[in-house]
Amino acid sequence: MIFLDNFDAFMEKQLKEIHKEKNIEDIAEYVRKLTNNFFNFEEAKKVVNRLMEDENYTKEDFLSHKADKAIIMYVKFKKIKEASVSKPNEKKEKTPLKTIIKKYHIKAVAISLAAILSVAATLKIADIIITMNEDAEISDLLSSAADIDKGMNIVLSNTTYKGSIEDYITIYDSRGIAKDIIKICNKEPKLIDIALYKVYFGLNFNKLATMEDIVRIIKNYASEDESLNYVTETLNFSSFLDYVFENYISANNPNYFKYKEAVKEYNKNKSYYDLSPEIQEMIDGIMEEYEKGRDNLYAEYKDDLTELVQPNEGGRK
Amino acid sequence: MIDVNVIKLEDNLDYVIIDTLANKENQYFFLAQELDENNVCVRKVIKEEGKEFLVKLDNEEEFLEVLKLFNSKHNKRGMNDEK
Repeated sequence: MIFLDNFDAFMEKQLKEIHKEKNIEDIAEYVRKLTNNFFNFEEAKKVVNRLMEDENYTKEDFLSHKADKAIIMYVKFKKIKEASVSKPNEKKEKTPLKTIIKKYHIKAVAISLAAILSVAATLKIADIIITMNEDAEISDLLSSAADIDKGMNIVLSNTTYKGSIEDYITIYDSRGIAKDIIKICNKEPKLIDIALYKVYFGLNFNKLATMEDIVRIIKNYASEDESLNYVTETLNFSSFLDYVFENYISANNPNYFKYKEAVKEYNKNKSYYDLSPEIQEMIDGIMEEYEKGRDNLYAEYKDDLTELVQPNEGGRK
Repeated sequence: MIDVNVIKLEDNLDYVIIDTLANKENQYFFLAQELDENNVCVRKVIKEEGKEFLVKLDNEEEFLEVLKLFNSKHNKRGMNDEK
């Protein structure tokens, strides 16, 4: 017993020593490095103190990197705030609204989607940190951060197209509605293209109340004059071109070989703007063929979609 | 391949308009820098002599109000919703 008592005392002493070595200053220095000098040392110290005092983070959370994601999100939030709010006595620059221009942008949707996700993700973290919600658990924070990373990685990566969308929507679809949409579209997988872009872009799964809503949205999106390459632009335009060429361009098409060459050229550098005007025209032609094909497809399946709505039967099937 | 709305801000960089939100008083633009989608900022629309301009927000309170609008639109749970 004496030995065990001594042993406990010895261990306690050792642990205290270890913790003593890692004081707030050490942690603040670590935070400074983690945030790539966004915070200087004193600011980092304040952040560490704030997270420890207001959010009950412990030294161990910092030392075991459990707080890293929260800190990074916190920095993102601060950056958005700094870029958005005028400083005291700062002269407000005025940008005339009429200087908005339309710009042809192959990655437009990718930018918008990634930016919206970035803000939405940051706010989930900021919500917990900034409002100092007493019920917030570290685990909430960390699981949010993990989801965000996963979602962002999927959107920004060049993984395979259909799998990525399904993975992605699952994150934002806590009620399983996305699965219903996919089920509806199972008859013809290409219809997923038609359905999903705006649904997942708007992160609106949880606002859809009934099966009728879902079908209505699919029909609306399908009939809109929007190119479905939006979906794939966000993932991998190169894969998308290959997909369109394989599925929508007939060998009898008079431009078949020119289209084939254009896809090959695009895949060399994967930059639309670096292509010659002639090749750009061919790429545009491929997209037109795709849009035509999509419209025909929707017309073909329109009745099937209508039948999915059962009269006098509310709610999801 | 689509056209997007782009505006050049005071730092002389192009920003894509990613979202617009409004409350009873003001309209707000969420903008992402064209070459770095993580570089996001918010601007408010003001009117002067019949012309419309984008300006920075007045203070942190206004910023948080706008974020609440954004959050209720894009996140599953609003900022003040039950966790």
